[in-house]
Amino acid sequence: MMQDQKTATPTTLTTLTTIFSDVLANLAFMFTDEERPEPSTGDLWLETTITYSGQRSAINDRQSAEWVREGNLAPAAQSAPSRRESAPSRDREGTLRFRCSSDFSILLAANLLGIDPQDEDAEAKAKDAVKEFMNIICGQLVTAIHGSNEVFDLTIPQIRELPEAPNLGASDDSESSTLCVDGHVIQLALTTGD
Amino acid sequence: MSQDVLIVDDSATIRQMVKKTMRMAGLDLGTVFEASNGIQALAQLKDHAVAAMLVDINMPTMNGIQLLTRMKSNPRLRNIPIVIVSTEGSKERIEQLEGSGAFGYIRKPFQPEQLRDVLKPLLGVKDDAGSEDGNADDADDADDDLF
Repeated sequence: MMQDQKTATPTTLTTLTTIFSDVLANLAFMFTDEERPEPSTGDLWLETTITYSGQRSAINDRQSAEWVREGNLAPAAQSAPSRRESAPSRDREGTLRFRCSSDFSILLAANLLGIDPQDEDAEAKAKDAVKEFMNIICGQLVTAIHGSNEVFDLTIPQIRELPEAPNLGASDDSESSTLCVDGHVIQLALTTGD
Repeated sequence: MSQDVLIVDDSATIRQMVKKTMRMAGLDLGTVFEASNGIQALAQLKDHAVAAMLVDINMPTMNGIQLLTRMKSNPRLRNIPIVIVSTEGSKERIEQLEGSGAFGYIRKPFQPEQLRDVLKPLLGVKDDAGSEDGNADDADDADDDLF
């Protein structure tokens, strides 16, 4: 298991990597390799994105309000309750991006369906499998990062074919986790708007 | 007696996975119908009576919450048990689903045992000789443990 050495927050990156590998294992019985081959530039590559957005829930706000009334806040915070009460709930949003080769998507579909990768159904359902994989990863990730007291809406995952093999080592604003699974290099990246 | 089921999920892969898992779990299944969103599900229910539904939340056109709400307001459909199968992890939304009348909730990714445990009171199990579990009392008893 490898993580990109960027300016990532260790906790978020660890969570991202853990959920990435756990969902692969629990959903598709696919496990990460120690070795990391170079991505094949000849493969067709897919990029799938899903966005989540949410706010602090009403339950959470009520609990917070009760907590404040019970005098749990420090004096400095108690002196400025109006700011707390008048400020809007904190918005949360983020986008997950998953990059993999077309061959990996076929393998993922085959594992999900319990069929041979050569089975034509595996290729037919490959993109659908990746989209569902992203849906599950995103659902798990928002709970892991923000807890279960907040409500999030997820978009329908969007998938596209990349015109060329991506540079998985390129630096951007995301926190990314790159894994090798059954000889395929795959990458999950998170960009947050928090 | 075998019971028919409707799976509502926009992912054909998940529908196939769920169908396969239900068969492997030994549930007493009849025909398994499929729909890829809430609108298609309502169309299926016009033609078919089912003993239970497995419904995803995040779907295009009509999502699972909208479908649940629509069904509960329809006297002909309101008693069909709906099990939500979703990635949802928010306590508030799960409580909302329970309050809206969902029979149970399974979070993806799920284990076959979870599916079996939730559906057993509704469908019964083929292998359990002499114990048909698909009666209303069992379903009511199990209700509290399925969220």
